[in-house]
Amino acid sequence: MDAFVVIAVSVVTAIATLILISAGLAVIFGLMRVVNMAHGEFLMVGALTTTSLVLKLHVPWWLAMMAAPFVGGAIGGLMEILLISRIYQRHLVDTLLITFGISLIMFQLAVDIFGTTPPGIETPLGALTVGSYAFPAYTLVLLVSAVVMLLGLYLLFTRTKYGLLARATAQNPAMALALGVPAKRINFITFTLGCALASFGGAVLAPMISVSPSLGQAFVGQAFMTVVIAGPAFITGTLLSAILLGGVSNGLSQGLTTLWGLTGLFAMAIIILRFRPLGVSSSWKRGL
Amino acid sequence: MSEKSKRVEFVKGSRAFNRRETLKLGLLGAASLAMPAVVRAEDPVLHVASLFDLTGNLNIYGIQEMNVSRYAIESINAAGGVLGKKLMLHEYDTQSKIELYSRYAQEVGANDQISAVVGCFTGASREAARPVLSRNKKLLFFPTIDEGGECDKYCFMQGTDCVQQEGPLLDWAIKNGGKKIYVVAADYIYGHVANAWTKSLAEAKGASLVGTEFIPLDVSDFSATIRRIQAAKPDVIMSNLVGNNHVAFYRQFAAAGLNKSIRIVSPVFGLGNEEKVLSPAEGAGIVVAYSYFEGLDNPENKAFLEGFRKKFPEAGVIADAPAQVWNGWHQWKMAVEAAGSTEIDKVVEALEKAAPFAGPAGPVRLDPQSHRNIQNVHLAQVTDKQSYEIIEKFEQVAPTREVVGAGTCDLTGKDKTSHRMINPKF
Repeated sequence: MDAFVVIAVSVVTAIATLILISAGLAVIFGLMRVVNMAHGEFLMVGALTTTSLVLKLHVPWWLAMMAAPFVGGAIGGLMEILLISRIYQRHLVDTLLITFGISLIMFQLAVDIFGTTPPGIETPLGALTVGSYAFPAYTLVLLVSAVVMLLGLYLLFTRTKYGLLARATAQNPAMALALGVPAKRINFITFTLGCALASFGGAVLAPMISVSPSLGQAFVGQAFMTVVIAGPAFITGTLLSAILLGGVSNGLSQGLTTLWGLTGLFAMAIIILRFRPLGVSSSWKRGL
Repeated sequence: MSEKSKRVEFVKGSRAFNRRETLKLGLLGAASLAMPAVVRAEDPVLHVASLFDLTGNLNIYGIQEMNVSRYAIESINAAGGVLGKKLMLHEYDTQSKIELYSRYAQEVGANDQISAVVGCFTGASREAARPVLSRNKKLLFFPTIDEGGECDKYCFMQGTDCVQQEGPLLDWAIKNGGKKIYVVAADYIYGHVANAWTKSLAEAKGASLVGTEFIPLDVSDFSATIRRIQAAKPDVIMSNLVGNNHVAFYRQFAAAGLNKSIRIVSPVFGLGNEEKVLSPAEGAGIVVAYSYFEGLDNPENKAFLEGFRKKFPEAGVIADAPAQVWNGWHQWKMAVEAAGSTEIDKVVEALEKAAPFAGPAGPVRLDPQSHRNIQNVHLAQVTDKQSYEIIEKFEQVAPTREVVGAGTCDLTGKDKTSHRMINPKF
């Protein structure tokens, strides 16, 4: 029984982690069709902001995590104004190259500023004990953060004017423009939001992993996989995709070995793409 | 064609200096460049090279190794150079990419001036560069600790091997923790070979493995592993986890509160400054084994550190591998001076006969059969101040000549013309 509880917590945490690392990418890809190759680096920005604030300025960890999306959003917004907005209407594919270039620059800048192995912060909140097992209490924070993130996004895109206009711009950019939607401004907000979300994801994960400039590279593959499997519905699709991938991979890790977990993740992705080449949400009527 | 008519033709040709003539001249120039250094005017410097990752995700190791390489060359030069000549270091940034190791090894191989290389970090990078260097008669000193199997007359393994590290670690673990050992190891060749050694050494010492788990290098979620460890209830964990993702293991282990009841010993912890990445509370108590630690108290280490800090005041902690870079260059220098030349076979012979070099971790003496160093191994415990406290010293620990599951290497006997890697079997 106690083993079952611990396994369940671990599976749910894996799902929450996938949501946290991929939501930002999903928003930008879902609404702008821009593949942000620098996504991993925005995770890194969030994580490094958190560890730096905690270690250098002795800010409480939760406050530091709240600050992280503002740093990531600011960098993302600047990047959108200077580069993305100038090219993406005409040459969508070029955004791949541009964002990839930015990811390399951000990585190297981080190495120059923080060094290759900056000190991290330990996991707050201590351990919870269930029967003969103990697990980090902080995993519950991951869970709550993922839920809040998805719920917040859902409300943002269904209940606000920006959400409505952003969806309109995504569905039919020409028509939206003709109807007076300030598409440029909407795209700016969307891109900034995506980068801020990525940074928040990185920030929340920071106390569970080793935070370094190469952090992005470690997570970006899984984030891309989650988004591709999700398909056009970038909120509910991402949720389902994370449940499938995270559930299978962590379930297999628990039952067999970590290698099987990783193998299961890829096998699951291949199987889904075989039957739903455009993602799990490709046949859904309403795309959110 | 006689000499005379050739000259005439050249003069004739020079009136309208055509493409063919230009090509010939170019070839002539290239040929003279390719001549051995002796044929050309005597080169006033000796050329050597280092291949390290200054960029990319492996630069956590490469930058400091290159720093020490520069420092070693500079201090050898300051002391008069080698054979009365100054050394010139050719630096190659391999960008954490295996293909660049092959490419730069080709470049070094084609460069007749360069005679020796101290470089490479991972076993894979070494195996990309070593065969090329070896074929082109360039010496390679490899500074990283490794699992063994290298059997190349032109290659020297500076770091300690699994037996040199795990032997002392297991002795300590059994004495201070208990006999039930759980192994977590990175899922690639190093982890598997290290685990084979852990198993055979532990059984010989009367301990048992209560669990073994191999973790792929890109995994950083250890919740399943941590649950299994709690189910197996070991006394000690032997960690052969490698790389930045795996640092998360120690963090999650501590977050579950396990660091209070189970000791961790590791022959690889600290290679990437793990003791600084983890918080003081998370890292404290982990026991590691290396030849070199900054805290070693001896005059050689004091001088070594003083000079390094003067040149690189901001450069951070020196781990074992960078210190081995220093040993490598000095062992090479001693051998070249004993041989009186940089001619590779003479230098190798001199290396195999060389007296011990007094390095910052104590004397290092080459074992001619294995081309590995007999050296001091120190056990250290991570303190609650993110540093190491030396807890035990093992003098002049010998490397193994055995390759797991695949026989032995004897570079002065049956393998004296060998230029290969013996693949371990497990």
